[in-house]
Formats: sequence, C-alpha cells, structure tokens
Amino acid sequence: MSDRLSWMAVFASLAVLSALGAVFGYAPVEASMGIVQKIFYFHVSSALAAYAGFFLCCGASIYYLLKGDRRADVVARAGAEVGVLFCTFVLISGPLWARKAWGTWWTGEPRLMLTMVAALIFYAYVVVRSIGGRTEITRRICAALAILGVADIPLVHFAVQKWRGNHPRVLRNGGISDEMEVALTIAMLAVFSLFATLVLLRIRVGMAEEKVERLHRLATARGNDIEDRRRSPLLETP
Amino acid sequence: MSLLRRPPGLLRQVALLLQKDLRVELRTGEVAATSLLFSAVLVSLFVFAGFSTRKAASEGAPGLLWMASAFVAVLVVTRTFEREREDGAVTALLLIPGASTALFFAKLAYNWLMLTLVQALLLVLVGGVFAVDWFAHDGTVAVALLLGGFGLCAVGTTLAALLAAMRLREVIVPVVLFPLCVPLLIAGAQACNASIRGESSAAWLATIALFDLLFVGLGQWLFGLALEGAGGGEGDSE
Repeated sequence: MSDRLSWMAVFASLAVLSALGAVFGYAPVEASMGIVQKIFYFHVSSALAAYAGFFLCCGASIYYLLKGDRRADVVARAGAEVGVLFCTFVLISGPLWARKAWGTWWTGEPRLMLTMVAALIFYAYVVVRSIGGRTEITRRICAALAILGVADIPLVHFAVQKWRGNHPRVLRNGGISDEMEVALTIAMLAVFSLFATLVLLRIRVGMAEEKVERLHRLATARGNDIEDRRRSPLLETP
Repeated sequence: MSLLRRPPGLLRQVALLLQKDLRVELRTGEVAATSLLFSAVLVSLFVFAGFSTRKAASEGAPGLLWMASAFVAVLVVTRTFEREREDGAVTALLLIPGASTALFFAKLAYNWLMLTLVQALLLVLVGGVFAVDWFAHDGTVAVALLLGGFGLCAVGTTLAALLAAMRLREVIVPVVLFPLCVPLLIAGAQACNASIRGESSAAWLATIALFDLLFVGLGQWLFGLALEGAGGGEGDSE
C-alpha cells in the first residue's frame, strides 16, 4: 500500500514537471492573450478535478447513508477536501486569466458562477465537518449535505445558463492548435494523477484517524474497567 | 382500548402536527411577530443603504424582495425544532410509526405558512418603497413567491432537522441554505422581473417548480435519516 502510493506520488510529480515543460516549452504562446493563456492548461484540468472530487464525495455519501460503511465516509471526506482544494485553485487562477483575457476580474459568466456556488457548498461541507467533530450525526449530516449539494449543481447550471447564457460575453474557444492540445492532455494527466494521489493519501490518513479513535475508545473503556475493579471492595486485598 | 385504534393516515397526522404548531403560534405569536418585525427592519435597511433611488428600483426590487425572503426563511426555519428539542419532544414524536414523513410535511407546511405571511408584508413594503406595481400585468409575482417560498422552506426544513443538534447552527444554516438556493433566487427574481415588464415567465416558474420537486423528494428522504441519527447518534457522540 505504502509503496504503491509512493510510486504514485513520484509519478504525479514527474507528470506535473513534464506538463510544465510541455506548457511552457512546447505549446506556442497564444497570439492575443500572450503568456497568461498558459493558465488555461492547469485551470481547466483543475476544474475537472474539483468536480470529480465533488461527485466522488456524493457517490460515497450515498453509499454511506445506505450501508453505513465508515470507509465510504472516509472516501467522501477525502473527495470533498481535495475537491475544495482544486476548486480554490480554479477560483484564484480564473480571475487572473479573466483580467487579461476579458479585462475584468469577474464577470457573470455561467461557468464562473456555477463553480463559485459549488465551491461555497463544499466549503460549508468542510466547515460542518470540522465543527461537528467525529460523531455519527456529523457523518450523516455531511453525507446529506453532499447529496443536496451535488443535486443542486445541474439546477444552478441551468439557472445561470438561462440567466446569462444569451450574453455574447461568453468566451468560445475557437479551436486550439495541436501543440496546445498535446500540452492540455499532459496537463490533464498531471493534474488527475496529483488528484488521485492526494485523495488516496487523504483516505489513508482518514483510515488511520478511524483506527486511532477506535483504539482510544477501547483504551478508555479498558482503563475505566481497571479503575472500577480497583475501586471494587471485593478485590481489595487486606 | 385506545391502543387498538387504527393509527391516523398521513394527511391526518400532518394536520394534527400542524394544528399543534399553529395553536402554539396563535397563543405566543412569537415566530410571526419577530419575523414580521425583522422584515420591516430589513426593508428600512434597504432604504438607508440607498437602494430606494428611482434608478435602482426598477431593476433591483425583485432581487431585494427575494433576498429578504431568503433572510426571513432562515429566521423561520432555524426555529423549527427549538420547541421540540426541549424535554426531548422529538423522541416522543418519532415513536409514532411513520411519523418522520408526517413530521417533515407538517413542519414544511408550518414554515411555508409563516414565510408566506411575511412575504405578503414584504411585497407591500418593498413595492411601496421602490414604487413597483407587482401586479401590473399578471399575478406571476404571487405564484413565484408561493412556489419559491415552498422551495426555500423545503431545503430549510431539511437543514434545520439535519443541523438541529449542531453547535453554531444559526450561522451554519444560512451558510448552507443560501448557496443551495441560488437557482431558486435567480429564477424567482427573474420571474418577477419578467412579470413586471409584461414578458412571459413560464420557464422561470418551471425552474422553481423543478427545484421544489427535487428538494421535497430529497428533503423528505434525508429528514428521516437525520432524525433516526438524532435519536441513535447522541449516545455515539458521548
């Protein structure tokens, strides 16, 4: 387990390095936006990774609610946290790019708003997790939140699309060059291998936390037991 | 003797539970009084924030109406289980077979009633302050508010049940409720805008109805799970 994960981490690091190489060394500089367009490769891949995390969280949450398997809860938590991480990156890199490409930090573009809402929902998820602590009820609450949140995503998409979709502001990617496509593929591979590594690491930490908690509970129970016996008058030696 | 009597059907259960809540409300008037007062204060804040100038009024009034509705909804739903939590009345209610469904719909109906009451006042106040004639062309605004209020309450009641035992729930409920209700707020405000301008708002109303259906279905399911957890989970958290 540990070895395989280390190899994955090594692979992810190499993939990220080669993606950087491909983006800056191989793909041409975009004519109108210049060097800022390089954000695009990691921005798009990270957005997909963020949604992958949210959907993983939702799937695992449904399984957890139906079967009560704690491992599914650990997976859901890992998906949400890593998803939030990538989503944060998207929300930072997006405005940087938009400033250069559209001349403004933020617009009412549908995908922007959708990502913003998804991020808010899952930030709330992470906050509830940390406030609620490690209790059964918190696990259930968070599973329910993940399901409500992911069910909301298509509706948000539909609403913002209908609201803003007819504005001509929307950037249409008028076909990208072959070199750019190669660079994008490598970046996608890099980001997803990084995503998978982080999720698996988080799952491992989560499992370890579960185990520590179980042992702690066991130790407390046993400690109480010994304490009780000490206090018991029958066991007192004269 | 009474043990052998057939338990009342779902509708009767909902009616009984609703009747109980309404009776308490009629005697104390606390939810209606505070919510109505809050909405009046909120509209006065809009005035002092400078929203009431003519220029902003035509575009912004529906948005403010919906924002105010969302705020009031939070106020109403967070108190859904305050009374039941005292003396462990929730546990008693859950001992009734199949009560979680009835409880969900009764609480939903009660919250909806309260919200509608406040929305009626908001309609008058916001309409007066911003000089908007809500019913210049048709009655869409009322339909949108009723349907939208139902959706807000469906999500809100579910969240109130989920988060009933959580610390800081007064903050967490809006933090989760508002992002989830983004499609509702967009569709609601746009439906009102379209109606004021005399355009068709059927698609927006359909969006609201879709939201309602989705979240009543999910809410009913998760509400049952949450309450089971609230009964069985408390021992776990100790």
